[in-house]
Order: sequence, then C-alpha cells, then structure tokens
Amino acid sequence: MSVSIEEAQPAARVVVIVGQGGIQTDLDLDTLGDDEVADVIPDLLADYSAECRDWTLIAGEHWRRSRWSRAEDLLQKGIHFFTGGVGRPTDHMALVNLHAMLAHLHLALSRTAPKVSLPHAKYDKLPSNVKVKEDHFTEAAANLNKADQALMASGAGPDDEPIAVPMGKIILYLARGQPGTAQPMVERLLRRQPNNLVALTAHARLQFARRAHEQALQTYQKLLSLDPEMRPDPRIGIGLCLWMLGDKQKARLAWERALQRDPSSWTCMLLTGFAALNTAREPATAEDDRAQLIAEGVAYVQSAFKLNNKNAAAALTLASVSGQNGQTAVASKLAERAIQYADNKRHAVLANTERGRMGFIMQDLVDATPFLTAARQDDGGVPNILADLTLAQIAIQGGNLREALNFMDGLTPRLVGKGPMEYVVMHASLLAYPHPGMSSAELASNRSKARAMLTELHSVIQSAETDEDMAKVRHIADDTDVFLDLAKMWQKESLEKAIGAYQTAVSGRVETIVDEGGEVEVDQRAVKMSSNLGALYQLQGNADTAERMYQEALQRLGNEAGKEAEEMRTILAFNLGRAYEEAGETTKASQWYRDVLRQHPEHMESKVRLACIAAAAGRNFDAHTLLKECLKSDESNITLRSTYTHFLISLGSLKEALAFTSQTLKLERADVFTYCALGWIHFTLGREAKSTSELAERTKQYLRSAEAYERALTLDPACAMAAQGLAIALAEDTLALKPLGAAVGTAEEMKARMRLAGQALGVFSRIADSIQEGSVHVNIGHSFFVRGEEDKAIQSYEAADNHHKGRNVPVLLYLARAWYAYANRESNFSAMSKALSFCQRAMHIQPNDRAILYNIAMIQQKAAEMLFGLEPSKRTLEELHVALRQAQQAANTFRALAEDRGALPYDPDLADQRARYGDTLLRRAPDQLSRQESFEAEAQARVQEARRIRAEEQARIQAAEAARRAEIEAKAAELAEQRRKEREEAHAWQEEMNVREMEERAKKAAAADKKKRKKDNGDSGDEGLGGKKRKGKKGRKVRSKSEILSDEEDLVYENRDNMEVDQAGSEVEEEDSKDKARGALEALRAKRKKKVEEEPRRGKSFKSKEYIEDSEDEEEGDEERKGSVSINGVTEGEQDENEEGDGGETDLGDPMGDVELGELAQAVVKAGEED
Amino acid sequence: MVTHPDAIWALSWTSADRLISGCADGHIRVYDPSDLTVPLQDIHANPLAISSLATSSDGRYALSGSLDGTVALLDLESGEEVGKSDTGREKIGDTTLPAFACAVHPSLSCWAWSGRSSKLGFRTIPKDSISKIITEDINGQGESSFNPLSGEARVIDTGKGKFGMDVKFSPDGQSLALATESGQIMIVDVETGEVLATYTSHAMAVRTISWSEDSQWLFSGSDDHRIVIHDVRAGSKSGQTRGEGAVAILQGHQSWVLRVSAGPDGKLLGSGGADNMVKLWDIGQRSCVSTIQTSSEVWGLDWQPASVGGSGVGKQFAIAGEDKMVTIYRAAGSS
Repeated sequence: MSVSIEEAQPAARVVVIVGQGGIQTDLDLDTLGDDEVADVIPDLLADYSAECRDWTLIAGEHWRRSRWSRAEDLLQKGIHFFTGGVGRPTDHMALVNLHAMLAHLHLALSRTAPKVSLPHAKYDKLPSNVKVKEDHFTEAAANLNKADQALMASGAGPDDEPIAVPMGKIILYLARGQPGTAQPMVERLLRRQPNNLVALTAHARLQFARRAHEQALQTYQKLLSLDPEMRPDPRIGIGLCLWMLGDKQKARLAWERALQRDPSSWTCMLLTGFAALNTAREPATAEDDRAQLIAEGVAYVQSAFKLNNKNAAAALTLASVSGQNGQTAVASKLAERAIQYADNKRHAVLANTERGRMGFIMQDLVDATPFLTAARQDDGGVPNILADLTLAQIAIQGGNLREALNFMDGLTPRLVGKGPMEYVVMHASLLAYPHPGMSSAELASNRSKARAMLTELHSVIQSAETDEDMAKVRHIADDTDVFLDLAKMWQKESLEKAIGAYQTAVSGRVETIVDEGGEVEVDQRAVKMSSNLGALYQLQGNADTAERMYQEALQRLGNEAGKEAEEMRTILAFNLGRAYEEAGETTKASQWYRDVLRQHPEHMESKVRLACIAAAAGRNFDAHTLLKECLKSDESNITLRSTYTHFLISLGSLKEALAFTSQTLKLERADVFTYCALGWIHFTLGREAKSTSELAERTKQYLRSAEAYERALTLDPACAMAAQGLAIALAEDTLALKPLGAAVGTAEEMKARMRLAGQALGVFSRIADSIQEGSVHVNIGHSFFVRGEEDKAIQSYEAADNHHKGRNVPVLLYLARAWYAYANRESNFSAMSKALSFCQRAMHIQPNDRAILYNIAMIQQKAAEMLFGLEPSKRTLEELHVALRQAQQAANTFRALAEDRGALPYDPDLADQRARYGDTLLRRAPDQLSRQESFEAEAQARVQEARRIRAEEQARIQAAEAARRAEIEAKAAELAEQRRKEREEAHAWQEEMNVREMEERAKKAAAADKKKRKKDNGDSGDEGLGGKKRKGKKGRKVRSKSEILSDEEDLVYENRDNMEVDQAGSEVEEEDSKDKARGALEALRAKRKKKVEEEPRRGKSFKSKEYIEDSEDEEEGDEERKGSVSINGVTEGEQDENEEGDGGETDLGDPMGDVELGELAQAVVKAGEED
Repeated sequence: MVTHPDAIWALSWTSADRLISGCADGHIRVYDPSDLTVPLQDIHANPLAISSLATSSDGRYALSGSLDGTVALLDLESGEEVGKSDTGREKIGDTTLPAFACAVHPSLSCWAWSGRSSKLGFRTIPKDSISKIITEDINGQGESSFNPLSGEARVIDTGKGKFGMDVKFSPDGQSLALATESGQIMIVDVETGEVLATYTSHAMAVRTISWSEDSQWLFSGSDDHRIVIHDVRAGSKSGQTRGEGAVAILQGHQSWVLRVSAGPDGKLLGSGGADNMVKLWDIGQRSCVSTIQTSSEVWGLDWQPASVGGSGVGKQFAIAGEDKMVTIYRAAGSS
C-alpha cells in the first residue's frame, strides 16, 4: 500500500495554479519547504488571485510538513486577501473555509502545546514564549467565530456550512472539556451526515465520556465497518470500551491488533503498556509475572513516549517508574513534563504529587512543597492520600509532628471508608507519639485511638492466610517497629495482646533475617525482641515459654563481643534467673544470678533476688547481708527498699520496718507500694498493740494506716491492695474514735457492725476480681462471719484455704472457728466434728502452738455440752458416746494445759476452769447417757413393739392365708374325695348290685358254696362303708357353707379367695418398701444429726404430721439462731480479725483468742441460764 | 489402695509385713499389704489425730502419738493397747513435756519423745512388762496395772530449737535423731544421753528424718524444700558436731518436704512433699530418679522391709496422705 502511495506521489506533487490571465504556474510541492519558495507563495497566490482551494491546498501541504508557522502565515494572508480590499469583493465562503482551517490548525497545535508553562519548573523548562493550549484554543475559537460571521455574511443557510466549522467547534469543546456543549453539535452534524467518520468518532468519544461504554463500543464498531482502514484505528476505542467493560483480555487483543496495523501508533503502545502495568499491580499476580509485566509495560510506555514526548500519561507513568528506580532527576523531569502537558485534572494532580514526592525524596523540601500544595488544591474532592502523606512526611522531617498529625487527621474524614494500611500505620504512629504541649488526656485518648487502629491492623495481618492476603499485608507485616509499638501500647493493659503483637514482630523479624540469608552479624534487635517477648510470657505466668525464649535469645547472641552484646547477655541471664525462680527452680535461678554477679559484682537486681530466695528458704542471715550490701551501694532504689521492708516485715520487726518505710517516703513520695506497706504496718502495729502505752496509740495507728492507704489510692486509683486496706478499716470500724475498753455489744453497735461488714463485703468482692489471693477470701470470710452468715464464711475461707494449699494455719483456724460457730448455732454435731478436724490439721502443721490444742479441747467440750443440751430425740447414743469420750479427753487436755507452766498463749486459770467445768459436764454424763439409753431403749421398744405387732399381723395374715389355703386344699381334697367316694360308692353300689345279683344268683346257686362267698363280700363292704362315712362328714360341712352352690361355683369362689390373698401380699410388700424409705429418711436424719426419733408410723396421715414437726423444728432453729447470733455478737464484738495487708504475711496468734473469748462469754451466758 | 475416713498423717510398713496407718481421726489401722480392702485391726487408742508412729524391729508393736501428747503402745497382732502415757500431764521433775513426735527403740527397751522446747524425753520400757501383760491377758487375769510406757524417765535438753518435729531411733539402736522446728538436727547417744552432733543444715522446720538401714546416714526433709544427706559417722567420730555431717543436698521438691524414707537396700530414698509429689532419689548419685505426681500432700511413705520383700528388696513402697488413701507402688519390672 505504501508503495502505491509513493508511486502515486510524484504525479501529484505538482500543483498548477491558474492565474487570472490564464497564466499557469506549476508549483512543485516538494519545493514548498524552501524558504525562498515559501516566502513568495502568498504574494504569488495573491497576485494570481488564486482560488481558495489553492490557498488551502498549499497551507495543507505546509501543515502536513509540520511547517506550522508557514501554514498559519499563509492562511492569515489568504484571509487578508479574501477579506477583500479596494475593488475586490469579500469572498465570504473562502473566508469561512480559511478561518475554519486556521481554527483547525490551532486546534492541532493545541494538542501538542503544554497545558501550562510552569514558572517554577526545574527540570523540564519550556521556552518562555511557548504558547499554551489555552492560547491556541482562544485563536481557534476566534477563527471559528469569524468563520461563522463570514458564513452569515455570505447569507448561506446552515446547510451550506462547511463541515469543517462545526467539526472545529466540536473538537474545541471536547478539548476544552465541555462535552455538554459539544454533544448537540455532534448530533446535529450526524443528522446531516450520518456516516461522517469524524463526527462518529466524536460521538463515540462523547458516549465514552458519558460512561456509556457499550454504546461507544457500538459506535466504534460501526466506524470500523464503515472504514476498516480508518486512522486513528477505531480498535483503540473498541479496546478502551472493552477495558472499561471489564474484558481486559479482549481489550489488549484489540490494541495489539491496532498496533500491528499501525506500529507507530503511540496511543496503542501507551494503552498496551498501561494494560500490562495494571495487570502487574493486581495482588493476585505472582512475583515473577509481575516483574515481567512491569518490564513489558514500561517498554511500551517508553516507546509511546518516544513517539510522543508530550503525552502527560506516558510521562507520568515513566516518572513514577523511574522514581521507584531511584532516578529522581529523570522522574522529576518527567513529572514536570506531565504537569505541563496534562490534559486532565487527574493527571495534573498525580503529576504534581509525583513531582512533590520526588522533591521530598531528594530532600529538597522547598522544591517539593509548591507541587504538593498544588496537588492538594486541585484534587477536587477526591482525597489525594499520597500528597497528604508526603506533606506529613515533610512535616515529620521538619520535626513538626503536630503539623504532620494535623495533615493525617485532616485526611481521615475525607477518606470514605478505610485508607490503605500504610496510611493507618503512619497515622497511628503519629497519634501514639507524645507531642510537646499535648495534654495528658489528649495523649491518652490519642494513644488508645492509635492502639485500636493498630490492633485492627494486627488482626487483619494475623488473619491473613491466603497468598493474596499476604501480598496485601506483606510490607506491613515485615515492619517490626509497628508491632513493637503496638506491644508497648498493650503492655500495661493486656499481656495477651502485647504478646500477640510481639510474636508478629518477632516472626516478621525472623523472616526478614531468613530472607536476607545467613547474615553473619548478630541481630541485636531480634535478640532484644526475643528477650522482651520472654519477659512478657513471664509476666503472663508462662515461665516455661519465657525460659525458652531467653535461651533462644542467648543462643542467638552466641559469642558476640561488644558492649551491647555484653549488656544483653547480662539481661538475659538475669531474666533466665527470674524465669527459673518463677517456675520454682530456685537452685537454677540462684546459679544464674550468681553468674550475673560474677560478671558484674554490683548487679543489684540479682543480689536482691538472691536475697529473696535466701529469705524464702529461711536463710534470713544471708538475705540480710545481701540486702545490706545492696543498700550500701544504692540507698535510694525504691524496689530495693521495698524488698527490704518486706523482709523486715517477714522477720516480724515491724518497728524497724516502720522506720525504714518512713525513710523511704522521704526519698520518694509517690510510690504506691510504700504507702501500702506503711498502711499495713500502722494497722498491724495498732492491732497487735499489747502494752498500755501502745494501746493508747491504737486509734492513732489505725488513722495513720487509713491515711497511708488513702494516699496510695490517690496515687493509683486502681490499687486493690490499698482499697482492701481501707475496706478492712471500714469493716473493723477502726476509724471512729472509740473510748478504749468501752463496752461493745449494744444492739446498735451490733447493727452498725453488720452494716459496715456488708459495705466492706461489696468492696472485697470487687477486689477479689482483681487480686487472686487468699487474703481477699479471708477478708470476705471475716465479713460474712461478722454478719453471722457462717456458711458463706466457710465457703470463702475454703477458697482461701485452696489458695494456700491447706498449709496456712490461720486460715485453717478461721475455718475451724466458722464451723464451730455454725455448729453451735445449728446444734450440729457433724459441723462440730468438722471444726475439730480443721483444728487438728492446723495443729499438725504447726504443732508448737498450744493455743490450738486449747481450741481443740474447747471444741470437744462444746460438742458434748451441745449434745447434752439437746432433746434425746435429736441425738443418738452413738454420738453421745463419741462426745463423752471427747469431753473426757478435753478435760484431760485442759488439765494438762492448766498444769503447764511457762509462756503460754492462753490463760492457764481459764484452762483450769474449763477442766473443772468438763468434770461437771462429765458428771452429768451418766444421767444423760441413761436418759438417752432409756429413750433409745424406749424408742427401740416402740420399734420392737411395732415390729412385733407387724410381725403378729403378718403372722395372722399368713395364718389366715394358710388357713384359707388349707381350707381350699381341703375343699379340693374333699371334692376329689367326694368324687372318688361317689365313684367308689357307685362302684361299690355296682359291686353291691353285682354282689346282690351274684348273691341272688348265688342264692339261687348251690347252697353248699354260700358260706365262703358271704365272707368275701362282707370285707369289701366294710371298706366302702368307712370311706363313705368320712367323706360324708366333710361334704356336709362344705355344703353347709356354700349351701346350695354347685361344685363349679364353689371353684370360682375359691379363685376369688386366692386373689384376695395376693392383694394382701402386695400390701405387705408396699408396707415393706415404706419401711425402707423410712429407713433411708432416718439415715438422712441421722446425717443431719437432727435426731428426731419419730413414732413408728403406719399411715399417710402420720407422714404429713412429720413434716409439720419438721417445719416447727426449723422455726425453733431460726429462733435459736437469732439468739445465738446475738450471743456471738456480744462475745465476738471485740475480737479482731486477722486481716491481711499487702505483705502477704498473716499473723498467727489471734484466732485462738476468738474462740477463747467466745466460749468464755458463752459459758457465762450458760451459767446465767442455769441460774 | 485403701480409703480412710480422714487424712493419713503417718504410715509404716512393718517387718511383719503389715501396713500401719495413723489417721487424723485418731485410729491406727493395720492392713495386710496383699489385701488392702479391710483392716486387720482398727485400734482407737489415741484421742486425737495420729501425728507420729513408730514400730518395733519385729513389727509386732507400734508406738503411736497423737496431737494432744497421748502416746500409746499397741500390740498390732491382737489390736490391744498395751501401754499408754499422757505426756502432757505426766511430770518429769517439775515439767511436763507434751509429745508431738515419739519413737520406740527397735528392741523395745525404751521409747523417746519430743515436742515443745525440743527436749527429749526418754523412758525405759521395763523388760517383760509387755509380755507380762500379754501373759496375764492370756491367763484371763484382767488388766494389768503395770504400764510399760511409764518406766524410768529422764529428759535430755538438747539446747537448740524450740520444738521437736520428728524423733527416730537408728536401726542399730545406738543413736537417736531429733529434728526441730527451727531446722536443727541432733544426734543423741541412747546409752549416755549425750548429744553427739548437731547439724544446722536447714533454716526452716525439719518435719521428717530417716536413718539408712546401716545407721550410717541420716536423711532430713525440711520446709525449705530441701532434703539433706548427713554422714553420721563424720559427726560422731571426729567429735566435731557442726555442719560436718551434711554431705549432700537434694533439691527438687517445690514445697515442704513432709516425709523422707530410706529404702531397705540403701540405694534409694523416697520422699513425699506438700507439692503432692513423691520423689525417688538415688543416694549414690545424689539425683532424683523418679517423680510421681499425686493428688494431695504426701504425709506418709515407707518401704517394704527387706525381711518381707524376698528377692525384690527395695522394689515396693507405700504412700499415704491428705487424700485419705494408702497406695502401694511397685518399681517397674517387679511383680
């Protein structure tokens, strides 16, 4: 094809211009480019008065040869010529044509003209006199207007209008981005010429711009069918439409086809390149394909750019590509090119952003800012994340974090939905960072916001499983700092979340290390992170995992030398020690601590830990030495001081501890722990006050204690220990200034105590949520105990006992006391046994406390006393025996206790009294025993009697049954006999008849045989007669009963009788089962030691009665309870409860006093009753 | 396994092949190790929980002490109480010495006890006093007024400590070991009553001690979670009493050590702790060779004596504790 053109061209290259006088001038078009020829042509044409066609032809030739100024010049001159002058009419039609052509020329020029000429362009400087698009547009518009005017002047109708004019207008409007104006014109034009290719193209473009992609596609297809050879290839449009419609594969095919047909089409190349690049950016694309696609795409775009180096899109793409490759200068130039030639806003914004970013990357902030500002200004409502991010980064670099945060904050509301993760990360980091002048409240809220953002991000990353997800989060997941930040933010509140974040960070780190492949240098950060993660595990209580983490970290550290590594090693060794200590392996722990101390003899923490281990193992001297050493080297270390305080308290040197703590306060006035310790010491000192002078101080001590706790609470409102201390003060009502030794125990006092205990309970139960320690349960138990709710108290104490694994003597004693009180109130012997059991356990663990033995004896004696006081029906002889035995033992024990001399935790006189009381108690024993015996014997007798009666009854029934059965049998036998007899009778009768016959016959026979035969017959006759007689007797009897019943009826009657018997039998069974049930009931009763011995019952009515009795019992019990509560209240009002402070130490001596005082008062009350 | 009504705080396996359990309900129960279902004897001689239990070398008699200081001598075969002493009331000189721990001489020639102030009480058991009772019983002459436990008494003040936690006669009968609440261990010559050695190997209460079968070693278990092996010869021969005897420390328990018991073959040591663990230690290697996790504190542990073990000496042991059960363990491989 191109060959044919070339062949045709030489023939057509000569234009013949015919002048007015018939002069013909041949113009070789090829020579038009020569300046001398070109210069003369306008004059020549004017001289020749050439036709308009000639002017345009030559101008067209210039145009084709890209001699824009020549063409413009020629056209201007033509216009001037045709405008007419002296003697020459104005040729309007020619003017129309020429103006239209000039307009088109400008439009064509505008396509390659820059949009703007940047005054501050640095790399892509344009000549200062360059005409921008708008200049050309203005020219074109002016010319089109003139063409319109000329047309009007010519008087031609709109139909005569050359197509070029509306076409020009359409192109102008389209180029100016006014499709609305262009559209009606296109439609009008198409009405005139439905198959005008250019108009159709414009139509398709308009449709495309309206996003009517399918219609546009149809239009393009129509174009293609109208002119398969059309340039530009409609396939490009088809491809675009297909791409937009989502059929990217077909779109690429269309463009490739177009490219085949016109290898020099930069549009096709650009689009193909873009297609490749876009595919590469899809997350699903594999890494290898990605690189290949990018290379391919860039290559296309580059060649497109070579063909048209004024294309903004290509320039922009290349700018970002070269920016990524680090060619910032090239990228900047391309970006500037893109800015200047951008034909739509989006391109301009992106190009500006890119250029700004490049400027930022090159650290030329002054250079970057105007571009970014321009980008932000132009964005037209669509948020430009990149520009804002870059601006924020510039602000960060300038140290102006606040401004950066403002950028980010400003961006957030404009982002509808979620921004990209990178943005989230940056925003969160900025939020979390404390800025100068920021209020603490703001910082806190910002931090929590940041934490929420990052946590969400973290969960996204953690849940990323598929490759696609991973590709999305890849870069973030590898950024360890983000997760370290997150971990730090969670550390205080949720160990679990902090660990999660740390794990992600560590795994990211490890992956990068693996990726980098066998890095020789030890990664200090990774080691540190492992160490920290280990520490977190340890805090979580997962000592094993922590240990493993530390070991791993140590291994990774290897033999690395250097200060940092050495420090790290020390830290790890210490941490390992802590982990082992936590896991209970104190030997290993001490080894590690000593290891540390060998390297760094002044490593105080290790020394302190060693001291703690020593103290826990009872090596108080060692512990003391170590702590003293530490104190000598650093006196002001708060942790050390608190450890020493704790040590002093555990030694029992409260006074020293108090002095030391006060000293600590001088050094540091804002330590919660110091205040808690102080509060505890004051409280304990007040409570333990023994001497008179100390007692006088008691109230003051309590007040000081409360003050200290209050200070602790103001320092840390969440300090549960301090709250507990105050709650104890509340429960104990220690704050009121009570006169010492005043009688407590009035009703109001009691009520107040109940109320206070209730309030304290509320506090304790909340504290129990945060402190998982036995002491809280103990306190709850105390509160319940004060309120008289022993069962709940027992539950709480048991919880505490579980915490201490049954090895805390005071708790065991509290349990014993609670059971004791419960048993007393309920008169429950088994509860008393429980109390005894707990007391024995306590004694077994701590055998040197004689007070426990006293309590044991007390419980034993009380049990007997209690049983004596009960109705015989509520106890059993067995229990009584057990109790008596115990009382005997108790008396012995008391005697032994009374005889004991030396420092005793109880009053020997009291023991003596107890012993004597025990004797009186025992003197009552025989009486009680006999009462019980007689009662039980009676009960037994009653039971026996009942059993006997039942047995008799049963016997009677059985006898009756037997009789009946015998009767029936007899009847049956009788019947059989009767029948037999009748048969026999019949037989006999027959025989008799026979005999008689025989006799008669015989009589008739010979008289000689007569004697012998007679004898035979007589024998058998006797037999038959006897049987008949017997049978007859019974038969008569039966007949007399049943009188006129037939034999068969008799049988029926017999059956009925049997049935009745059966029923009776089942009744007996039922009664048996009732007996069993009753037995079970009694067993239950015995368990509860109610000892209600019921009368043997037989009917249901009795049962209901029993229930009534029961309920009455309970009512009585209630009354008793009330009574006993008040007694308890009186007696135990003064008792101290062994509340625990924060130290975890519990005092051991008190609880016996409780029982002692309690029982004394009860003894007094008892005596009063007896009186 | 056999279940008791309450926790078992003392356990002994006698050379007569009987398992004796001292229960917190104050009962002593005697079992046949091959049939643990029903006790052969159920003796209720002590009023309170049994805190201490010792048996004679022939396995016929047992001395049981309860929390209130009552000590009873029991005939395990007949289930009879043959002697009783209320140490809390019986004065020796002008003081009383309530027993917490008691021990009987292997030959039944004397018994010893300790408790408050860690003084040692000694009483001889007059010869034939026990058999006298028995013969009398057999002869049907009723109860004897003679109490074998109220023999001639003496008190040895060991000086250290404030409370005696455990007392044990050495198997050869020559020495007596006393463990105190403050952590000291004293060795006393039975003949002379002289304190031969004092070891301060522990800083916390020593709740249990055990002699090796050859009376050369003494093992102690303490609240400081440690078990210490003492070479008794070193202390006794050199005459120097302080510290020399402790030759090794066994660590592994994570709470108080409640019971140690040396195996009859002298190779293994068994220990039970408040951490619910039973541990077996190789005495020669000084290392833990086995750990058994149980459900509660292990207060009692004793080995099957060599005299009844047959070929499998040191292969079986029994434990008891807060879970109210006696459990017999067999080493792997033994039937």
